[in-house]
Amino acid sequence: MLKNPYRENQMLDSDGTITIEEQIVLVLKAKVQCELNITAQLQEGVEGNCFPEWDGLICWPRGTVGKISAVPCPPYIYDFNHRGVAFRHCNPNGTWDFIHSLNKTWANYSDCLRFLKPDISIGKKEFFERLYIMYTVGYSISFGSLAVAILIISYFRRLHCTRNYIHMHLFVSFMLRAASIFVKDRVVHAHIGIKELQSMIMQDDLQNSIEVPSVDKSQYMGCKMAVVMFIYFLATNYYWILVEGLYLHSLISVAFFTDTKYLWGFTLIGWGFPAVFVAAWAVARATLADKRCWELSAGDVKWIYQAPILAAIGLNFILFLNTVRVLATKIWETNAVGHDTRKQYRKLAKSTLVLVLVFGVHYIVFVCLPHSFTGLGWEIRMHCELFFNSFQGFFVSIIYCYCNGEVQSEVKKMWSRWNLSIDWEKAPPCGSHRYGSAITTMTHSTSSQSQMAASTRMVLISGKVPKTVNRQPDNQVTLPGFVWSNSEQDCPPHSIHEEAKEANGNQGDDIPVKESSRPLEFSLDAEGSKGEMEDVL
Amino acid sequence: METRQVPGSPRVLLLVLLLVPWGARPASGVALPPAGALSLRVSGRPWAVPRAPVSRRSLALADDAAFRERARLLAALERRHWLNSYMHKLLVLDAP
Repeated sequence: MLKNPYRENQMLDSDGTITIEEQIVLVLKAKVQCELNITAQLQEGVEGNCFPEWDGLICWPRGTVGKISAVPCPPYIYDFNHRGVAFRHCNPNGTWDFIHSLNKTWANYSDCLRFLKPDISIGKKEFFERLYIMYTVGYSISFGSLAVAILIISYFRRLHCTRNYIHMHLFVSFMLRAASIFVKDRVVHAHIGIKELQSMIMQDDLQNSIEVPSVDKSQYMGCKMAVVMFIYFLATNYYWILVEGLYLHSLISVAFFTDTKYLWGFTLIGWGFPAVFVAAWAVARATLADKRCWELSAGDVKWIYQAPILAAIGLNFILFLNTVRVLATKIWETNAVGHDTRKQYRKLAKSTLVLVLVFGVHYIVFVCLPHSFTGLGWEIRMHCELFFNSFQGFFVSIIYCYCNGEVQSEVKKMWSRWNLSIDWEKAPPCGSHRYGSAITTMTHSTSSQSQMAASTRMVLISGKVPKTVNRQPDNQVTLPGFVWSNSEQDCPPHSIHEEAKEANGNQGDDIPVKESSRPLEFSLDAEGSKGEMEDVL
Repeated sequence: METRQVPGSPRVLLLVLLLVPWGARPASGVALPPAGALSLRVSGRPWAVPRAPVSRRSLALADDAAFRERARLLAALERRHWLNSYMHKLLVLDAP
């Protein structure tokens, strides 16, 4: 293909394309140049030949009588075949072939338009449509799933602890990422296709004008904001995934890790740092390549936000590798699943799979994949990558909320309470047998399920019977609907107190709550870190 | 006992490798324009020297890449639509 100086001269942005505005500017510049040339040629005053003229696209030189003039397809028209030639015929009477019925000069541009066939773009458009539908479905499912997860964790006060606060920040970042993508798709692409510019072009203004048409830039403000928000929430999401990795890594690596103290730092990393480099990118873009909606790629300016995001992905991958290494060491050292090697591997594989989804390891896989793919390879890759990206929020909500033991037990407790309250309303007043069975169940039950049932019954009982009925001899924490599980350990005791107070106030319960002897700061030895990590997982 | 993990040199190397823009090879996928179609503007030089082809590799994030590539396609369609209309208005074409 011939080198195109006009393309080389284009703006520093737009990796490989020019906009309609730029195209018009190029045509106008060519027109001005042509008019200068025509003036010079007319001064030569050769009789009998067809006059040189500008037909709107090509500057036709003086034609020889009775001959066909051939001019190379102009390089300033981006979509032309620049190896082709356009033709005109100079009549024996010294005028260009003219079709009177149409009031236009005849010209043959077919060679120039060889590549300008509409069907070439249809495949590309369909590909992007498929991609758009797929990731919109993915992000919608993730959005809904994360919204429910946030409601659940917010509702149960016992789940309010640093670890879950970090999870909620991550959930919110996933939701904002999805929302910003929806807004961006709605706003940005609606701006492409400027009506006023097109209508101006379709009139004869361009033919008669020598000035560059100007478009009011203020109309792009909302659209630019949508793009900035899209980049920002994309970045914050990657950084909150990094925060999850840092938190998990701190739990397993750092002794005396005070998670509450670090929460502010994590919040700053998750929301603050991306704001800095995205703002820097916006300033650079506004200064160096302030074109349309900033929707077209702008040379190397994009590295202002891409580099920190790639750094976060790389760092998270390192944290992932180390976490898996420590996890494997713990499983082997502690013989958590006995001496059965297969079970150990299975346990490790399961934990690793969870970590892969949580740490977003697929990002690094796609970043490291060779990019020399052409056509179909790139399409498949984009489908896979966007599938994982859009559904990652859904997977994360499943791992951190719906499959979380704490959450499940809280939901089950609430469900049991609700069921039993209905039973209570329906039951006849002679409920002494019922009390007895509840107490018996509570006394003799050992499994968590029966404990849960017992304690939920206690909630009902406590408002009706003397306080002494509820006292537990073993000094265990006895809260309404309390279920002992490993996962309770890392939630700070203040939440237990709060819930106890609330329960006392709201339900009239007077259940004794033993002051937890666990300190706020928990230290993790080899055994402890494993338990903690398993909790997190 | 503190068991803080310090990244060793292979990890640092990996991180550095991740940050390197692997843009030397052209990638001519369906959604891309011809390689090397556009270049950086070099002020004061109307006929700029050829540079390395623009690579899609420079768009490392899939969501961003999909957005930019789609915008580029739509910009190209818009430009072609204008050219088509403009030519039909001004010229008598022996075009397909």
